Amino acid sequence: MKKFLLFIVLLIALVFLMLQFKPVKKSIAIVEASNTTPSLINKDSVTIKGRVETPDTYKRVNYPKGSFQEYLRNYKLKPFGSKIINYDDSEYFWQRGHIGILEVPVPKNGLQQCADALIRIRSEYLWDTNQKDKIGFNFTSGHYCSWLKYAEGYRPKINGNKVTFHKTASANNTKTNFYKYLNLIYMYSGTLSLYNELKSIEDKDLKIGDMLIKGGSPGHIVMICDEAINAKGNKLFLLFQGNTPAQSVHLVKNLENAKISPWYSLKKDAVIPVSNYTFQSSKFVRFKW
Amino acid sequence: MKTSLKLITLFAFTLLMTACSSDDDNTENQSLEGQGQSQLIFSAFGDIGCGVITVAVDQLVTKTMDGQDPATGFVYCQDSSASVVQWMDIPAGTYTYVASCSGYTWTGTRTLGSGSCSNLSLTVGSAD
Repeated sequence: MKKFLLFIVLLIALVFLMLQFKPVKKSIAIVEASNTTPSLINKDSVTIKGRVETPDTYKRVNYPKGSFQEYLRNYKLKPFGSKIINYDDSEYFWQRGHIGILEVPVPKNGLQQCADALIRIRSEYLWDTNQKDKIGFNFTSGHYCSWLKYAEGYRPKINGNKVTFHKTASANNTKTNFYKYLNLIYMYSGTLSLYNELKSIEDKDLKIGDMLIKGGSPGHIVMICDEAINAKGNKLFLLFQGNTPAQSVHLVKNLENAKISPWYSLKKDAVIPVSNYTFQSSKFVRFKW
Repeated sequence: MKTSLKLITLFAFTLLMTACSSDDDNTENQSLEGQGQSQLIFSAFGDIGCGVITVAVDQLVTKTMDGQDPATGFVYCQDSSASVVQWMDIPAGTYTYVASCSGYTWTGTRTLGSGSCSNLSLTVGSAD
């Protein structure tokens, strides 16, 4: 009887031990799952390139010094943790979608919304690199408005959807006048005009400076500001955006893929949530020059 | 000796029952996985101001989002709140959706892997 009881006890102990293996495995799995992906964010850096490291096996795509691509990836950021501020100095209601604020002033007139912010950054690059003759954008009506003509004193006369240009002001090539010109562009250009004006780009050809766009009113647009590639040729991108109401231009997180955030894999026609806006069917465009 | 054996047996039996309890949880999860425990969530980014949002997904019951919280931004699966429309424990697969409210319609597809969660933020773009 004693031997039988000992046998039963040993058997039960053995079964118990066997059952413990599963929880141990489970524990290992939980530990592995809780090993969060190393952050790619360098909080101390104040440039886009410095703020975000590339994921393992990826490296940044090289671009010539002085190019728009290099200009964008080296764009200055405010200190990490800075908030998105609206044009009226109030805080944007949602602060969880960004990892950096670009050093782009937000005019108090509220005109510098999503497309306008990208138009400004593109125009300032052309200004800074003495390519002023390339500064020009279509109005939503389709009429082209160039900086050079504006600087000569030509102003649009807008009657409904009809636009004519007349020399009504004296010539003025100053930077102050340049920003007045941009205000005019902000009023009469937007995502719809950019969508109609700019060249469509396939996802395989994407590079820094290209934009993810939903043309319309309402519409939305964000710009690629950095690019990394792996040995297989797969690319990842960083994005920044302006928004409505007019607010700080900000570098966005990837809300769907924490493993590579803030990098994005961009595919044409895909659903891509970018901070406050979900692109339902992604399309890409590029500035003409 | 008899008393010792009884105590040992009782101890071993208690341990066994504890282990069984742990295993039961595991079995339940596996069973749910087998049925497909994927989730599909729709939320509104801020107050779109278009009234009730109706979300129709093929093969699933149509649901509505009655209120939109102006303070709600992008809703992650893990922090889904009252102001979302969600289907729990649905099979993996590709789902076509049409979400609509006064003045706005969102259409598309979402593909769910087994045991995964898909969260779609319904948004309205900038005026410009």
